[in-house]
Amino acid sequence: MNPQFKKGVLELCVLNMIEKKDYYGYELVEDISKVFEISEGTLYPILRRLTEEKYFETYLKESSEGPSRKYYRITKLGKAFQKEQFKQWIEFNQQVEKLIGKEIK
Amino acid sequence: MTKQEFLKSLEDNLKLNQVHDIKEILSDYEEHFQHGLSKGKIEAEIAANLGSTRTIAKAYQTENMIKVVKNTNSKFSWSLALTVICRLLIIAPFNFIVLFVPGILLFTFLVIGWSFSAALGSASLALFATLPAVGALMTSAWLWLAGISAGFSLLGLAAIGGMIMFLLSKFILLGLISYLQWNLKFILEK
Repeated sequence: MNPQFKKGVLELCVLNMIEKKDYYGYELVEDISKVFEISEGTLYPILRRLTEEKYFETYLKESSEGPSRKYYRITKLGKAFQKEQFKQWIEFNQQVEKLIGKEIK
Repeated sequence: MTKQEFLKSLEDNLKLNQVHDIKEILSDYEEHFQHGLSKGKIEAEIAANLGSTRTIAKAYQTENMIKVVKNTNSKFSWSLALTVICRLLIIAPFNFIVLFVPGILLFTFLVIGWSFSAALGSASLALFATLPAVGALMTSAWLWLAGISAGFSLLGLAAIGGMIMFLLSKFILLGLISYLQWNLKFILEK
């Protein structure tokens, strides 16, 4: 994917996915890389920043069938941020649609 | 690349990019390898999918910068703002070209504004300084009073000018930061 698109969109995807359910790093990376062709390693820096900004919190969970998992859970602050980012994304999409939507259909 | 090679190379690159909390970061990748291995992948495959350690280290540095830029909104600090702007200009010289002409105009405007209020201030001070000498020459109390009030009004104007300039400078700087912040999203990972 074009790196210019990727940057903003990945953060939005991560926020929206973790808003729906708690993910551990490997699982999130796996799900995202099924859809986007990315260097998987670059997702961890995003997770780390969003956690440092108090949008996520982490907890460890032991698993019977494998290594222990570091889970990411969205915080109240994170939910507000996700809502705002998502709103902006929808608005942005509508504007793009207005300009070049016809060409897609 | 094996897991050990990957982690070592990542560690070196993180140090090179002056990223903090290296131990914690490495443990995230360690965990990633373990999960991959438990799903039957081999180390070389996992490392290849993770991508270049140089890119990853740069991404950490960048994310850190994004955080710094965002924080300037909540707590305004001149030195931090200037540092961030300088750093952004270095990673994105493109900004420099775009901002060059309007930047010079704005900068000139700010300099003129600041010097104008500074001039007003020093004029009032000069007036105050000469008052005793004038008073010795002319004994009229009215002249004294006129001199003092003129001095105070100049001082007041200077203070108001200074305040307006401070707010304007801050506003312009914040605007610049949010522009660069917006820009940051597009220039990274190159």
